[in-house]
Amino acid sequence: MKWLALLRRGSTVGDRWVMVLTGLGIVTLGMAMSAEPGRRAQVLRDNRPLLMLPLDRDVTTQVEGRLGPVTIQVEKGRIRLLEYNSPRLIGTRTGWIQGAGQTTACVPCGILVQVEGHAKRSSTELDAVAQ
Amino acid sequence: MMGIHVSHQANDLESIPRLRKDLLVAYLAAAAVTTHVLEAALPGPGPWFKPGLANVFTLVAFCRFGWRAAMAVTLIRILVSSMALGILFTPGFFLSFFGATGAVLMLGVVRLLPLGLGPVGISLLAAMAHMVAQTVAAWLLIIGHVGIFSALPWFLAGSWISGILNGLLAFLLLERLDQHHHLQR
Amino acid sequence: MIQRWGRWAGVVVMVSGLLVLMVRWYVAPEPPGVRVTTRLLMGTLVAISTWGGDEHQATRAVGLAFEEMARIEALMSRFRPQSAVSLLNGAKRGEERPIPEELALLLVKGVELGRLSGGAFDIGLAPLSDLWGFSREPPPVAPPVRESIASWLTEHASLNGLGIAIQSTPEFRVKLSNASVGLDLGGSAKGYAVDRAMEVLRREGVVNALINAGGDMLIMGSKGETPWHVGLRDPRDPSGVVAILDRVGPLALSTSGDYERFFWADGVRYHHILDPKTGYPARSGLISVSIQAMDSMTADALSTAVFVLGEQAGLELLQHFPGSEALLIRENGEHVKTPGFVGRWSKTP
Repeated sequence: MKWLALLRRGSTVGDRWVMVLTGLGIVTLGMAMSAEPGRRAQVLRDNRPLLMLPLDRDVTTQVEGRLGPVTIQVEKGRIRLLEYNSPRLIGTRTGWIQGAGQTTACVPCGILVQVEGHAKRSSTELDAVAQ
Repeated sequence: MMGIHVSHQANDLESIPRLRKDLLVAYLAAAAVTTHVLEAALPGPGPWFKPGLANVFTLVAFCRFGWRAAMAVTLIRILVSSMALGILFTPGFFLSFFGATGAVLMLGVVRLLPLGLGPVGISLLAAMAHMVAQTVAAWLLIIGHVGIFSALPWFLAGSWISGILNGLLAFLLLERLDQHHHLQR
Repeated sequence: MIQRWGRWAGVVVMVSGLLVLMVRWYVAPEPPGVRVTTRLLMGTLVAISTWGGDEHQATRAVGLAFEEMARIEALMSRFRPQSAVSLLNGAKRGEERPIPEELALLLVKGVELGRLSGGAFDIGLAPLSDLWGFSREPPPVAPPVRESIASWLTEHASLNGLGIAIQSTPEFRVKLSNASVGLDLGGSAKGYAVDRAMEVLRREGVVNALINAGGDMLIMGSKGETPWHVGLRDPRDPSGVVAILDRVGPLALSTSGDYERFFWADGVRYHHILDPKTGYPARSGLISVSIQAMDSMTADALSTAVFVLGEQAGLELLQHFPGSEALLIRENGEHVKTPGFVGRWSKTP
């Protein structure tokens, strides 16, 4: 109460307008920025772009791979390939991916999923692993 | 006797106010430097959420003596306290410098606006400008990644609060100065 | 009034100028990161990493490099019905057929390595590979019947050498001797494609790059002040790494292992590296062979050849290829490497 009284005494009408307007401005900015479109993942078939999936919306979809349908699932900002039953389905071995630049693929189906952007690597991380 | 007294009066009117103004600006700058250094020594939630109490004195200088006095207090504060802290021309110094430049520029804009703003509104706008300029400087000079702007609303919310607090403190300080009639303009 | 303004302006300009200079001294530019692009090519994931340089230029170069690999795949894949290799495989045996010069030069090198390795490396195993079907989808779960392999062996043994005759004048022509011979460049085409892709990157102005195509890796340059940092997969733990290399290019590193494509049947691991002498997956006592060489094609072919030959004969074969080094992992998990092999053991990924 003491602070409020001080605020009333110490501020002009213009001050109060500035307080309200900047406050509203900050809240609006914060909301606009948190609603900004997030990361996306690109789905390629035979190295040609097929789909662009936003990772902030949970969705399960199917695309036609070389060997039949491949299920792609987006959940909680992550994405994975599902269901095609093959030991060479690197996608199911990889599981969920979410970081910028990460990939998952079903090699025999010709389906490749890549999260947009370039991964930031720490200096201890490997640049590549010879399989 | 009378004549001497009158000439003294004339001296008071002509030169003493100027001297007092310079003196008071110097006092304000010294107080700002002290506050800045003390605040830097305090443990805080990081450089982005310092209350920036030193700006109270800049505000007083601005409200009492105008924009150039505020600029003088700011420049002196940044340079001298950075020297005292041993961070002159380090990235941290540039952050304060650009932040303060933003704030001073905002003060320059504010004085042209016919909004009838008191210390609180002025302080708030200057604090916002300070934060935006500092974030841009951090982006350009240190982080090099636009990701820092995603935190800007939080930074601004912090400066909204500290801006109002500093404005109120400046208001109280100005009130005190008004009670001392010999320090009147 | 104007005078005072002038003084202020002068001070501000001087201080700002000084500060700009200081900023340039004190604030280092952000180090450029590694850019990775992945594509599906030649039946595997191919990742091209570049470091530094102009981003636009690098993106363009990487695109062209992938196109080059796709071109080679279209020329040399035996799974593309219209590839030069498929057309040759479909031709009548004993008949000379013209082939593109690029393919012919690769075949010459393959035949040469076949001779040096005493037939352990064989670019003519397509019919045997088809019997096993490791490239089929879904992959096989049982070995082919014994008789079919036996009859392939009989026919193949009747050949003098590999059964591939290459003639270079007036044009490049190839003759496949009998039905047991068909081109399968699985042991060298990928390495060749990686070499070509790196050549494209270099031509397009890229200085630092790493191409990783499954078992074939090629390094050029570095990451500025740090070398490229790569690992060798643990044959028995897909997420583990047995060795770590910090190298500045050029360096090719290729690995052949029994863990890439395989199935279990009756307690036996049947993998995709076939021994032309037996018609069965090579059982030489090695489960993983990594070769370092100056070019990826040599490393690729040697890793297959050494895997089939085994430790002793394999290391003897390396004598013919100066600059090539090997890291071998035996069945019991023991590691061996030649003195010049760059890399250190690692038990952690």
